[in-house]
Amino acid sequence: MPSNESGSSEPGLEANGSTEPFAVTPADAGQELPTTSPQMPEQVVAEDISPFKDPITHGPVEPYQGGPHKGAWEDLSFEDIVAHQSHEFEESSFFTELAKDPLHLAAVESFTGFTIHTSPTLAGTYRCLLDVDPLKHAISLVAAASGARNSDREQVKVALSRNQLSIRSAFGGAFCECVLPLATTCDDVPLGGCVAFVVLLTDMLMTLDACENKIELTFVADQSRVSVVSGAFARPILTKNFSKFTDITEARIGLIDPKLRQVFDPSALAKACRLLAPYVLDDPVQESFNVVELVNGRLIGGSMSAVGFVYAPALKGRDLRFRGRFLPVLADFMPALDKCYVYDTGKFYVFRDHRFAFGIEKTERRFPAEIAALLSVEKNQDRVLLPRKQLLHMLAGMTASKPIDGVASFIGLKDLHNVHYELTAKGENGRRVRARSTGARQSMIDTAIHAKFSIGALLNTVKEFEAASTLIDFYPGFLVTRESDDQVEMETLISLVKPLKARKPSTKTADEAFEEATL
Amino acid sequence: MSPDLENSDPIENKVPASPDGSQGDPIANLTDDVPATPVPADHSKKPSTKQSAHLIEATSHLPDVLFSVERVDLRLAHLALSAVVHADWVQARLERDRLILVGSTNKARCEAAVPLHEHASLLAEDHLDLRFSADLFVDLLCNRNRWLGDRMDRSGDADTLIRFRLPQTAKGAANSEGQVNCKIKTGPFTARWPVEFIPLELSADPLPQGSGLDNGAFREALQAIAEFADRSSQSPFATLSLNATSGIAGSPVHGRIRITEGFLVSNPLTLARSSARNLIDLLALIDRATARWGVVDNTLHVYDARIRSAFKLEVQGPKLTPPSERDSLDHGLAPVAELRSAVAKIVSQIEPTESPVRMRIFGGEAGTLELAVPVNGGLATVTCPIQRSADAEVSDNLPTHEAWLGSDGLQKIFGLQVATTVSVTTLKGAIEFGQSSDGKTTKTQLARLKAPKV
Repeated sequence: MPSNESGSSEPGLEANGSTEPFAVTPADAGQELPTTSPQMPEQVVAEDISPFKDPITHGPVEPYQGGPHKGAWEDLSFEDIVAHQSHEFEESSFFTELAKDPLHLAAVESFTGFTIHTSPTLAGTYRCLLDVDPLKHAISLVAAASGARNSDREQVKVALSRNQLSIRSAFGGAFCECVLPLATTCDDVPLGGCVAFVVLLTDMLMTLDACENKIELTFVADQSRVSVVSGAFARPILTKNFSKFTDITEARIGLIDPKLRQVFDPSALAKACRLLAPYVLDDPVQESFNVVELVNGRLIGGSMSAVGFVYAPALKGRDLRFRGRFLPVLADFMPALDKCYVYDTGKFYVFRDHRFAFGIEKTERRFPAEIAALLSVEKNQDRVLLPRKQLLHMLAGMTASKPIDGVASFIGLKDLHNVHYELTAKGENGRRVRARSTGARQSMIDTAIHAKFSIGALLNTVKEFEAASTLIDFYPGFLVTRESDDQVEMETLISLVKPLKARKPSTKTADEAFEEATL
Repeated sequence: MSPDLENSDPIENKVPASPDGSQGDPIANLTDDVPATPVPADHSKKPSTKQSAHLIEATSHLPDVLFSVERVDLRLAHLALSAVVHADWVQARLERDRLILVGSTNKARCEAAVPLHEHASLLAEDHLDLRFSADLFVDLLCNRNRWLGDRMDRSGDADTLIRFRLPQTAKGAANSEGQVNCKIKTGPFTARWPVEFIPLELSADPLPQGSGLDNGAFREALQAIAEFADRSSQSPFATLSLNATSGIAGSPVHGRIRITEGFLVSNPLTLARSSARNLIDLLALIDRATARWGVVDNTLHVYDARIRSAFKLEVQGPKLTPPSERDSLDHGLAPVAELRSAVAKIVSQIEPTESPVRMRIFGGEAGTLELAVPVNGGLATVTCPIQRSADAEVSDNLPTHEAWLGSDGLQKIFGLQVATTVSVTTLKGAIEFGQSSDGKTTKTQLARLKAPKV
């Protein structure tokens, strides 16, 4: 249940008494947090730190022998533990999690909606201290979420509670929220309470440019001003009209239903989005192509000239459909998330881990299904394996002629084992750049290959992978490159400018044959 | 790759036949296995530059001219040319044993010679004047990214040569714009590129005897003041002046002057700002061992064994009169690192519209230098420590000084990389920032501006 419908009588308060967007209460977590470590992640508490297990090794606790031993927390100083178990300390997932997750992992589990700060704080002075680097990272993510929009007018809402600060933005069809721990508790904020203000994103970006190490934010509510101090630097930031901020309300983004959430691997989606982004154009003319679709672990998107299919096993079972313009935003934002949940609200997809939340608008349109069907065409498939670095080098060289429409022609002549190929690009005023090399023949078809395609499309896919060779299949009307690494498999379907011409190799030498094909 | 495949080259434009009538492979045998084709005896006389183009017209069936150069040599020459001239074209003269890239503006000229790896199939005194589009060099021939790829692919066995094949037969082969297609081969690439035969004039004047040049010291002296001259070429203050050990440049319009001392320059010079900037780039490419320079007929010549450049000297502009240091109101020393950081931070707060920076010096001997700019909602400020000079009696109660300075000038107050402190002197009409190291001194005076209306 989203918090703005919680029925709380006090503005900004949730039913559970917490106003912190990602905060958790013992009631939410379902059990009391251990007193020895108040910030211990909930999932670690529940699964790993049982009374019968060693909190460091996760193995059985050995009997106490009167000296320092594994698992006897109360008997050891920090120095003792480091001295005896320093290597285990470094490798322990428990401590990695604790260092990485200063907030409560349980907040992810208990998340039911975003806290809505309905009214501005009108009086009081509130001071907090933060580390600069996480704040810079959070603001850069907020800026990335705004995409290519004009950040001069974009506003962000900052909410301050006793031990954390959240920054929220909502631009166009995307929104995000970043939660940061405070360096020291902010006693100015009443216990369980929260103060919020709205500032320009550009003011925050500029201010952080001059900040180092720690930053002290002081919100002077009655002056509508935030004072920023970092070392020898200080500046004021004027707050903006609170009511004009477009917040992440249920009416806007839909209902967050924890029952519909799915575990999600953001790194796989980030990589898939980055690979696919060069092929997706925000083109209103080709509206049916202006959709990116994740189906059965395969992210699909592209244009009439090239379509990318990125398959990641980690994405299997989570279907998404969104507009192409969110692809670079997702590619920027997803690497910031740890393993997270994705929620389908009906209007938005919301990705959320313990620090960040990010939402993009859904679309009902579908990517043209017939394009995907082309990949299974078996007819006249002609397969070659080309050395990657050489191909990359040659494709880059083709661009020197400034080819008309960015098109290069490929001529491949095959002998028993090899394919001798030539790339040619023609520019204006008779300019031409050509390069020849040899690859491996992968099909038994011995016809010559003659194809014209976009240099940029092939360059984009070849440069992103690291295997020694690139596999290319030629079909009538298009070619397909097939690449893979340990995380994803990518197929790129590139339209041919002219339909593939199949020619029987003649008895002529390769040079004569190239010459004949060129003419 | 099979040799025949590598060397073959189906030529789409008209390839002239050899004198014996056979259709030779145009690119394949650019190297040792084919001797340079002899040119008919009646063309052995060295033509004038104007005759050069006519030579092409008159001879309709000359064999193609073949030559090759090392890529690094061509790149160096092209960089030298680009340092002086920014044009869409590269003009070149091909002689039997070298290719000379030529570029000129109304203030400067550069000729950079590239030794030919394999001599051109021209007679000793013959030459061809050519004009290529500059992007051939920028995007393909001198682009290091192409070389890197090549090196990786061939694992140390990189093809370092660029081979050219140039048809001499303008008649018939040239298109309506008078261009013929030159064929160029390097690494795996074979390019066909239009080239024009356009006569050009090389410098006829002999090089001055000149004297040895320490290009590093000269470059440093130019760099120290070049940015302070007026950008507008119409301005009388668009020049910088150097003499034996000092230099001065400034822009009263922008309210900044730089004076240098201790930089070793042997000849007094007055150069246009644009020429100085070109010269700074060029000096980085000039060979230290053979670098020389001299002034003849109001022209500065800087040259080495391959690169020859000339820069027109300017008449000295109106004399710059910086505020006298005798009017000093206050003096202090600030650490470079802190002041540099403070300047960077305050400049990062300036809104897109240009805004002056307020500088205040206050406190006692261990005082504070504060920089401030107006921002939405007040002033952004940053401070750094400053050690103020003071009489013993008043050391705890020194006066506060305030000045508004141009932000552009403020970013340029650091004239020496190695200095650890910046002296800050408050003058009546300006603030002077000075640095000293290794006997060199830079003084940068920024004029006080009017306080903006906040």
